[in-house]
Parts: sequence; structure tokens; C-alpha cells
Amino acid sequence: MNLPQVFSLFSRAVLCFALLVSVQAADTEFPSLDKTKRVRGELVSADFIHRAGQFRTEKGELTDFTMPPYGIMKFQGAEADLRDVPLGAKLEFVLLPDAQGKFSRLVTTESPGEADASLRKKFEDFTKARGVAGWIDRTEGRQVTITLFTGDPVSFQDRYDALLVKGKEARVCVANDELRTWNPGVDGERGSITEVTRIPADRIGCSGYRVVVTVPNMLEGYRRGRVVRVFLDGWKARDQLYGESLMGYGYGRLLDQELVENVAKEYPEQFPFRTDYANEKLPWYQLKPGQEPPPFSEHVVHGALVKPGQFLTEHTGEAADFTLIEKAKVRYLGKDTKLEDIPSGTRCRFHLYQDEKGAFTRAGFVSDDFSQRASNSVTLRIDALHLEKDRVEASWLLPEVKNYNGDMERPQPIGRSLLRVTKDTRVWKLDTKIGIRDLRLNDLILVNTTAEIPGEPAQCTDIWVGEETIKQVSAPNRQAAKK
Amino acid sequence: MKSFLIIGFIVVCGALPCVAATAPEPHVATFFKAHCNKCHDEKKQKGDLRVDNLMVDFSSPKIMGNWEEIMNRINSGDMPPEKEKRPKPDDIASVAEWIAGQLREGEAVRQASGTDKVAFLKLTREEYANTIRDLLGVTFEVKGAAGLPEDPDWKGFERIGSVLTLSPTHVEKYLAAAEMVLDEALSLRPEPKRDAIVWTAWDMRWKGFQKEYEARGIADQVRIEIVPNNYTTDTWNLDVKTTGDYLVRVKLSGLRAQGGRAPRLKVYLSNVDKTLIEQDVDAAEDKPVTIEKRVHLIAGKYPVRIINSVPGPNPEGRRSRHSGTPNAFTNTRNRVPWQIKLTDDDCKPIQPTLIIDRVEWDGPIVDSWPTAAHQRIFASKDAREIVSKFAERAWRRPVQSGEVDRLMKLVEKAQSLGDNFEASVRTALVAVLSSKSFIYLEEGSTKKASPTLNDWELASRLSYFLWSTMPDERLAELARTNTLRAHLQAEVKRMLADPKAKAFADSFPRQWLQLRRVGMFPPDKVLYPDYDENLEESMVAETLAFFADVLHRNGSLREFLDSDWTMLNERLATHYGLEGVRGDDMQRVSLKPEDHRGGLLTQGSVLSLTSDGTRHRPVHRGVWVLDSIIGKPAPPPPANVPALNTPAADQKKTTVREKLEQHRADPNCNACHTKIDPLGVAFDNYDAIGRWRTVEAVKDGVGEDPKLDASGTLNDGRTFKNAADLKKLLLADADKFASAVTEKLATYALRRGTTFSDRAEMKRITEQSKVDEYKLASLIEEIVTSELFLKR
Repeated sequence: MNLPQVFSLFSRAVLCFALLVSVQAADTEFPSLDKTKRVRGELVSADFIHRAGQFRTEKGELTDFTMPPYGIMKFQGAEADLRDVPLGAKLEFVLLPDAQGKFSRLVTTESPGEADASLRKKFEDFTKARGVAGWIDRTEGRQVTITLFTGDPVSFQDRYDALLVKGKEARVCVANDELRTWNPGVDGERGSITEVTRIPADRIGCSGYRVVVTVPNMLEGYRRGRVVRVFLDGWKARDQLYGESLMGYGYGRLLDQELVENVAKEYPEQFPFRTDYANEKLPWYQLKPGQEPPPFSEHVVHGALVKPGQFLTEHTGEAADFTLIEKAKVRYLGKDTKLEDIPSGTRCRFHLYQDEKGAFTRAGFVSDDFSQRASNSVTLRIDALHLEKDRVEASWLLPEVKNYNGDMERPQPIGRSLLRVTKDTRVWKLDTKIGIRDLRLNDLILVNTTAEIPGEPAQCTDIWVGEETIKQVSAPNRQAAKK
Repeated sequence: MKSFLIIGFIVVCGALPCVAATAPEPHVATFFKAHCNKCHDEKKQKGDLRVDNLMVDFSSPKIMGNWEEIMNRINSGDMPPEKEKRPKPDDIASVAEWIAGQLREGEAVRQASGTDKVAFLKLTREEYANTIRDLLGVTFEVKGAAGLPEDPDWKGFERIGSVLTLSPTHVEKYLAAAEMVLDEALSLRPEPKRDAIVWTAWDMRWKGFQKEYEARGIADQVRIEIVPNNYTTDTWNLDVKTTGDYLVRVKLSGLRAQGGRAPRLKVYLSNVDKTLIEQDVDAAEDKPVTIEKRVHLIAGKYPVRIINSVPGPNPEGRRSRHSGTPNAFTNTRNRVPWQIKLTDDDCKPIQPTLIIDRVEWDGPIVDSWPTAAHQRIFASKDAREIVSKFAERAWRRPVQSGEVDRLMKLVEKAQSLGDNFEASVRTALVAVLSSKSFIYLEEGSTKKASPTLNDWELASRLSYFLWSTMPDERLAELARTNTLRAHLQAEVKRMLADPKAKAFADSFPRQWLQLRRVGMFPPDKVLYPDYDENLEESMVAETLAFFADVLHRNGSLREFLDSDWTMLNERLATHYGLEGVRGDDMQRVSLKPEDHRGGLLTQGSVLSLTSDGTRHRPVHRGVWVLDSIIGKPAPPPPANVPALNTPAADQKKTTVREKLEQHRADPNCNACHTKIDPLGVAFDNYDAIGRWRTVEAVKDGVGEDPKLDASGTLNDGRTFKNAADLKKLLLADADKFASAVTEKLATYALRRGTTFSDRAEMKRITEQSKVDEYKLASLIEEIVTSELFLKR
């Protein structure tokens, strides 16, 4: 398995597409283990914020996954957040089918080993900072009935039994399916536990604890089937990390549009057409002459641009023809350009619309990975170099932002992925082409890759090293990057 | 021009009538002899005061001041000094009561002005506005920034001639008002263009998302939801270019939770403290309605607040704010998760919520152009004719040719300065409206003293009594032909049947019952969370609608004391615990004894105006009953009355009544309080906001909240168990009540307190009223046709 993985922020849309069925499920039944499928593989990409990622099976197949709200990974016998599972970890992925029947919903992972005390502590701290997640079974008056989630009912009882007692305080914060809260200072209500019921914990995700919390005010997010984060007695409801919180007070606006609350997913009724996130039963948006299509009306597909007007679809390798619509945008290396300027084989993101026959052949937007990341102010930081295995491990970084004190601060990484490099990979520093061996830990880079095609795992075509280089390459007056 | 318009103003100082001094009653003289003369006789005159020969002289402020001082000193126990023998409390009470009576009489005498050659009685600001409306057809907003100062009251009455004085501020305001109303009334400017300012949901909240929603294809579905209690969060700016009447239209839904209150739309101009619309709205989310109201707006900029003025959870403004993500409100299923929840899991409303589609400001509405007032005023081409006709109507009397001459000088001056015909005539019209003859009711003549009113004066007195506005054509015609006296009874009937009589039905009970005090001490929000503006207004509305109903039916005054019906809307019925009343409008509701209501005394307005913001006040209630119902006002309280004791934390809880009884153990207090308190404690079963109860919620002390005891003994020895019982005793004394109401009506009609010289006539009127079964409208007729009303 020496297949380095192409990570992409931009594949998230596709990942989420597979998630359709989980959107604000009104059904609060936990799945049983016999509905799952176990697949062995290696974790190659993790999107911490959207609780999604990719693993490569032992057969070399790249599989996208997303985690349902009750899904919790286990690593070396302990519960772990996605960000605490190292890339390259060999795990057994326990999956449920999505709406299309594809096993893409990761409910947990298993890996051998005794539970490590420090890992357990890490997850305990992680939970305490964000609240225990659960979903709402019912609401009545000012009472909210919540079943709490766990990946390990025994540990859960050990940790929280003493706090889940009638009369104890509980702050119930509204959250989305990705377990993201808006801002715990204001998106929750401090109530008290008025009832605790023990229920069987024999299904995936169920902690066995069902609590009734009486709150001073009912919030819209306290609704049957919705997810909440519960801060137990004595826990401080604090701000979530920049990018993780859906509404970040104290910081500036989110520069990464992929991290902003996704209205198509959260408020599907606000869209009278099908989107990649919801409204499966509605027709797709139809292009109208002279009308710029609204955000989320597009169907996002990734693939390798073969030539202007044709690409090979990622994963399947199928050839797809397309034409650009009026006022379509084509981006390459951070600049508006023409399709002809994008080197053949480059992995691109396509925003597609249906033609008169219903086929997705009209493109409103085409962009390489470099441009897509740059437009969201994301860079990659080299965390590890495994050149002997043709691999580079990189974190996804946001730029520095102002914190509450007005000081500039680098947010925590929002994801991580393995990049595959080969002898054909070009490495650029300012105007100079350098060697792969000149890469260093902590270098900030942006990359372009090929697309993942059966039998042809994606690999980096170019790596631009250093913020100066990235700036120079994407400067508007500069000619196409040197070959 | 303004400088020479002021000539019309005369500031009036009433001279006191000449009344002979009288000696105090024998029991007072005896009291002085026993307790005061020792130090305050001819020899000692301690503190420069001599009482052994003190007379009552209403014309001397100094002497009447001395009497007041004496009353206060003996009432408070200050005098006689400690080392002297204490007078009996009953004697103190009796002397104090006698002095209080004299002081009131003195005040009334000063108000009565029959001996002045001319009496000037200023119009109240409501009367001023009504007169402008009838004269020129435009609305003058008395409460706005360009309005007039609030009128002072005398024992609740806001139209007492000698109390309504004129300050330099008034003069400026009257001048500005005259200019403003004529500008609006006359067509001396380009015809105003009627136009509609429309606020869509986009304009009001979602501007930044409009393009995106248009592209999505659901721009027409966007609305704005207004959560309860949003007093400051939803404000938009309105720029009114032209003064005039506007139609405000609000298209909206109003969601009501099952068993809960309807949301309440309040359209409020915050910078001028003016409410344009306030009403409950019951309309399903998918079935919006349009509310339309004609309002008067003065050119200017206004922050308009659209408020859902029903109580509900809105603990922090941010809970009803909207996020920056493009999800404009289209229905209750798509709200942001951290906002206050408006519907339950089955999407049924759980909070009273308004959902607004659009607000329109359509105007100015010009019914005709030139305006009707313009056409009427400029019917002639002769400036003199125009000015004199206008002055006659405005001044409510024939105009002397010398007066017209002076007005014409203004016209000529304006013409010489280049004004055209209409503009120069307008100058004289401004002067007419700024004149004393417009702003004051004039009674009497400088040429000849007269003890009775002439027909013009009578027409005005009658018109301002029943309509609070100028006489109409019919009254003016009767005055012109000197035949009003012969038609008085018929005129009263006609006038009471006219919609303008609403002014009386509204204004008289407000002043008689002192309803202006309702909400003066806003109830504590923690103790009375249910209390809100809507309830307060509904309480007053009950009393007014109740009065109006008795008036229109010519019902009996006895109904004011007790009745098996009342007028309620949904809000007040809920407050009283009565079911089956829906909507904002006051409607007649039958009462059963177990409802514990009926008559004025157990109406929320009366029960709350006699309470303070935290608890019921039996003494205030008693004082109010004595004044408004029995017509025997209590003497004012002495200075330095100690507060009621609060029991120590470890002591048993006590009712206010029990605390009062401790207070009354002091014999100095007891004398007055035995008369006052029983009339107040009778209503102890009603809390500070008029809710029925059987125990009193008490904060201090230990144990259960104490049971209430509303029983008592009247001064004459009759006993009662509770308020219902007391009402029966009052009904048995209906003639006393009729006498009190007669006096209040007379005070209102004559714009002065009544005096001893009025007593005989008032007694006759009351006796006639008994023959008429105390019918209200008949009593009014009787008053108007009496000597009392005809004399100056």
C-alpha cells in the first residue's frame, strides 16, 4: 500500500452528497451491528470539522466516508476523535450504507490493542471541551429528552454516571449533524436534569443514558431528531476552535467558505430544487438565460481535465464531455484563465448543470486544487516526510486570525492528508525548480494533483513551497507558471 | 409676520370674588379654646399666629394658609405641644375634617368666577385638537413634539379654568400650531402627490440576500417573523415628506399557541412616542390578513418599531437576531437552531408570533383638492368677509367690527409685503387661531356684568361639556337666533346620540374616576409578570365601555355600584379568569356572583389605580371611594406618617390589613382611619392588579400566606363581610352616590369646583334624579337645563 492519497478540501461536497440520508434525521433509532460492513484499510485523509475522510482498502481502493452524529472512532482500544487517529493507521472501518446503498457512513473503527490511558484521557478532555453529544427523542413544554452518544458504554458510565443525576446542571447546546455548535455561550440553555433513564446500550452509538433536561427557554434546535451537545455539571461552555464553531464570536469572518454553515444542508426548504446536500425528490436547478445560477444549485464533480471540454471522472474514470455556460469561470493557479491553460491531467473541480436532456454537461465553474484552496485561504503544512514511501504527510492550515484579545493566532489545523509524490513531481520555490529532497518539515505548500482513476492513484504533479512562492504564482500579472 | 400676531394674546389673572369672612363652627371654637388659645391668643401670638379670633376668609390666601397649617399641625400631633393635655382623637378628626371642607370650599370659590366681568376658561389640549378638527378638518396631534403640554388636573379634573394657566411655552406652541394646521388645511401649496412607501421583507430585514433568493426562485416567499417582546430589535426608518393622513397597511400572519394569547401588533414611532396601530392578530401562517388604519403623520423622520407587544420569552436580543448566512425566513420550519423556538415538533405554534409580509404607507390622502376647508374659507373673494366668517366660527360668537378691522390690518400688511391674496388672508387666519377668543371659552362681557350665560356662551359650554369641541352648525344657529334655551333638552338628546358624545363618554369617567392614575406606578415585573400595556389599556377600556353602555341605554347610576354584567375583551377576561371571550374589542359579558365582579368598584382599573407597584393599598382605596363614590373626600394625611411595620424574619406573616390595624392603634391615626380603612379593606380580595384572591402573598415572615379578611364596619355602624356586601350597603345609599356623581358632573360641565351657592340646586337635581330612577342621561339633561348650568 504505497498509494499516497490525494486529499482535497473540495471533495467534501461529494462526501456530503453521500450523506443525504443523515440530514437532520427525525428518526432517533440507533443502528444495530448486523447492518454494518467491516472493511480493513488505511486512513489517508481526515477532515476534522466535517467529520469525514478517506481510507484506502487493502485492495487499493480509495473510499470516502463521513461519520453520522453518533459515530465515534476507536483507536488502539480507546475512543478517539478523528484528529487523534494518525494518518496511515491500519484500521477496521465499520460502515453503514448511505441512501445510495454505498457503505460510506463510518460508525466506528476498530484496531487491536489495550486501551491506552493517555488516549482515553485525551478523548475525555476533548468531550469535556465540546460537550457530550446526543440527540433529542422528544420535547414537551420546557423539557428536552436526550439520548447521549458514546463509542464505549462502559467508559461512558465510568466517566459520567455521577454527573447524570437528577438535579445536576446541564447546558444543552444546539449542534448540527457534524456535532458543531454555533457558539456555546449563546446557542445553549443552562438547565437542570429532571430525569435519568437507563436504556439498553446494545446498539451502535447509544450510551444507555436518556436524560430529561428542563431548560429556561426552548430553542429552535431543540427538536425531535436534532443533535445537541450537553455540557455537564461543572463543565465550562467555552468557544469552539476557529473554524469548528459555526458562529465565531471574537474572530473575524470565516475565510474558508467550506467551513461556513451550509445553508443548503441545514435549511433545505430554502431551496426549491435538488442540491448535493438535500431535496433528493426535487428536480435539479435548470439554467435560465441571463440568470446567474445561485450558490448550491450546482452539482459538484471532480475529475482529471483531459482537454478543453472533457474530463475523466474521479473514482470511475469515465470520460465526460462538457461545455462552459455564459459567464463561466475557469481558475488555474489562483487566477481567472481559459481551459486551454490548464495542463492536461490536472485534477479539477467542476460545477455542473443539466442540459436540456438532463445530462450534467454544462459547467459554470472549473478550478484546479491550488485555486480552490487559495480562494479559501487554506495552505498545507508538511508534518512528516516519508520519501522512501513516496509520501508526504500534511495538515490543512488556515491563516492567522485575531483572537479575543486582538492578538494574531494560528488556528488549529482543520484536517490532514497523505500526499503521493513521485519522481515526476515538480517542486517549485519562487522561480526555481528544486528537488523533492529539498522539502522540509513545516514547509507551507500548495499542490496540484492528478485525479484518482482506477489503477492510477492520484499523485502530486506540482508542489509550490513557501508563502512567497504561492503568492508569486498566483499574482494576477504573472504569466502561466513556468514549466 | 409672527411678531404682530401675538397681539391677540391676553394673559388672564382671575381676581378673587368678594366673599365675606365667616367665623368657625362652634365645635372648632371650643377646641381652640381648650387647646390652642392659651398660646395663640391676642397676648402671646406664638409663632405669629392668633387663633382666638381667626375667621374663614376665602379671599385671603394668608388666612387660608393659616387654616391649612393648623390642620396639618393638629393632625400630625405636633400641636398642642407634648407637655399640654392631648385632645381626644375624635375631636382632632372632627376639627381637621371641618378645616379640610373649608379649604376645598375656598378653592372652589376661587374657581367660580361669576363675579368677574369676563371669565376665560382655557380649552384643554384635547378640546383644542377637536376644535381644530371640526373647524379645519385636520388632525392636530396634542401629544407629539409639536403638540401642547399636558394639562394639569385638580382632583382628577383636567378642565378647571383657574388651573389651566398659560405660559410663554404655550404661546409659542399655539402660534406654531396655528401655522401648522393652516398649512395642512389650506391648499396654498402644490397638490400633494399620493404615493405608497412599501417595505417588503427584503427592505425590512433581508436586503443582502435578495439577489440570491431571486436566483433561487423563492424571493416571493420571504417574510419576517417578529418574536414576542421585541421592543427594541425591529426598527425601520420612515421619511414622511408631506404632513397629512396616511393609510398604514400591514400584511401579516399572527400565530397563536393553543390556549395562549394572540400575538399583538404594535406599530410605534419611538421618537415621538406615538402608537399608530396596536391590536391582536389571529391569522394562520398560510392565511395572512391585511390590517389597515388611517393615521396622521407630520412631515419628518421617524424610527418605526414593529413590536409584538405580547409577553413571551425573549431573554436576550440576540435570541431573536438573525445569522449572517443566507437563510431568510420563509416559514416556521426553517429557523436558525439557536433562536427562540416558535413551533413544536409538529410545527404547531407555541409562542405568539407575528409574521410580516409587507408594510405600506399610502398617502397623504387628500379627500379633495383644494381641501374642503379651503373651499369653505375661500368661498368668497372678499377678504373681510372671509376673515369675519372664519373668526365667528373659530371664536364661537359674533365678531365685532373693530376686531375684524384689526385682523384686516394684518391682511393689508401682508399684501404690502408682497403676499398674494390667499397668503395674506391666511395671516389673519393665523391670528384668529392664536387669539384668546379661540384658545379660551369666554363667558361674560366687559361692557355689562351678567349673572347668566348668553346663548353663544351656553352653546359653547354645552358643546364642550358633551362633545369636547366647538358647537356645530345647529347649535350655532340656535345661538344666533337666541333660541337655544328653548331647545336645550332636545339638544342634549341630540348631542348624546351623536358620535361626538364619545368625547364625553371617554373623558368624564377618566376624570371622575381619576383613571389617569392607572399605571402611574407600573406594577413590579417580578411580582406581576402578567401585567402588560395591553392589560392596562384593557382595564381602562372596560371602565370607559361600561360607562358608555350605561350612558347610551340611559341606564341607572346604580349600575356603577353593582351590575350583573361588564365589558371585557379577551385579555381582561383572561385576567379575571373568565372564559369564552375572544378578541380585542370590548364586549358585554354577563357576570355571576362567583365571578366577583360587577359595577365600577371591582374593575381592574379602579383596583389598580388605588394600588402601588408592589401591593394593594387599602387606605388609598378607601380614600378613593370616599372621594369618587361617596363624595366626602378624606382630609389629607398628616406629614411624617410612619411606614407600615414589616414583621421580623422569624415572625408570622401578616396581611396589610393586620399591619394597618397596628398602625391604627395610635389614636391620632384611628380617628380618620376608621372612616377610610373599612372602605378599602373591603376590596382586599383583589390584589394590586385587580385579580381575585383569598390569601395574601406575603414575602416577609414565616408560615403560610395569611387568609384575607375583607369584612368591616362603616362609620355609621353598618357591617359587611366583603366587597359584594359593601356594594349592597352603597346601593342602599344610592342617593348619596347620585349626589356625588351630580357634583362630579357639575364640576366637569362648569369647569370649576362646586360651592355652597350651588348646593341647593344640586340637591334638587339629585332628588329629581331619584324620581328618574337615577338614569344617567336623564341626570345630564337635568343638569344642563338647571339654573346651575345656565348661570355664570
